[in-house]
Amino acid sequence: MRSRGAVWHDQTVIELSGGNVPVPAGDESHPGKPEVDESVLVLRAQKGDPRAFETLVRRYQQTMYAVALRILSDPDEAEDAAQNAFVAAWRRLPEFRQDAKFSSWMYRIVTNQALNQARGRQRQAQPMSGEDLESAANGGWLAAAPVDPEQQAEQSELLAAVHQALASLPEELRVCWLLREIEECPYQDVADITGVSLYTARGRIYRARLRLAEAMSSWR
Amino acid sequence: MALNENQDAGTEIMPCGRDPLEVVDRARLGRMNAHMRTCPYCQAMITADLPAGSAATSLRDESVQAPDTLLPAVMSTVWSELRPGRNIPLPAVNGSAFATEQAVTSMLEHDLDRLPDFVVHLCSVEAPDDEPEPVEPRTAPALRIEVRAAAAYAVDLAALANRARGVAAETLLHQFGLVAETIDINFVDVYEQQGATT
Repeated sequence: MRSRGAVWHDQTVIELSGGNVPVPAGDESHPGKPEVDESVLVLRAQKGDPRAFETLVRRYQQTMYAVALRILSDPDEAEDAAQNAFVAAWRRLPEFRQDAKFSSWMYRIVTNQALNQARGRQRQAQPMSGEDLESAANGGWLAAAPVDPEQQAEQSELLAAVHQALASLPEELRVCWLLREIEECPYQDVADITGVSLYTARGRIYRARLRLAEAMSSWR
Repeated sequence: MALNENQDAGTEIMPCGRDPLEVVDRARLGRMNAHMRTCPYCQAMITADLPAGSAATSLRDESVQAPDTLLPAVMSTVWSELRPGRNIPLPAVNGSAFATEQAVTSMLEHDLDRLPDFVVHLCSVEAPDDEPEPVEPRTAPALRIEVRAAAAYAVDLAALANRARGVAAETLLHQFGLVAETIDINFVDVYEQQGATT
């Protein structure tokens, strides 16, 4: 049964119960059909279709969680930020313009959410503790691909140095750098997501690169 | 470099007149031109970027796994805030029964999406506004259905629209006991079937 019937007095209201109806097009049982286009999913979600929104969340949860994690450096806070960002997106979907890119819009929401959380806890860009760095570099919350022990040790050291260098950047620079270098967003998207001009976004990425180059010069 | 820098400043053009971001981006892509290969400023910028570039690659290669609890937590809130639309009265003999517009729409979209050569973009269900107070036996309203969809390339659209109408009518009747006054099918896109040869 796809719908749930609930009886109150003499009235039966059929409501969606969630998660029972499979997302239709593009699955293996419908060969030849394309994946449901993102703009279609967004349109359906805007009309209140929770399954369409669930598909969008599935598509973007890894990316948005990763962005939040790299800004906040804390798995629990990152999960909160990603969750709040998706819920905010659901509530604000009616405002979303169809000519905009959903991914950029989501990046903006999750970035702002993570930054607000970071500011809320008055977290100035403090270098991570040695324990945090070790945890981060050894797969505490980031699972690196397995390599041989020597490579792994070197990789761990490099990652620890990266995380430390990143943590020392002002958040404006760090966010722009993460969006450009890790999420591989075009410069214009970085500008749009962070709400600054292209000129400013490029400048921030440039200065972040310079600072990281300086901080990591011993790795050259 | 200055520590109290202006965070809104742009890039600093190098003495050779090149934009440092462009130089580094091109070098990372292996698209260096003749100038970049010989210019000391460009070479210095490219060399200085190597550790940071390597760091970026390392970070990109890290696999970040979102916690399993994230999706259920988001959807729990979404379901609790659902705006399911108006209730549509269903035929009923004892008491009354309703389905929400959202329930009817979702079921139609689900069944129509199973139709070959047809991908639903949006489905809307409109019931008459002037609903009478419930009386028994309940008479279901005739609905107006509008479906926006994409069709596979080179398919007879008129025939496909008729098949879609049939599926929609059958779903309404068998699932809800409802009938449609009109079922409008609007094809808004055409797609090439995956695996099809051109």
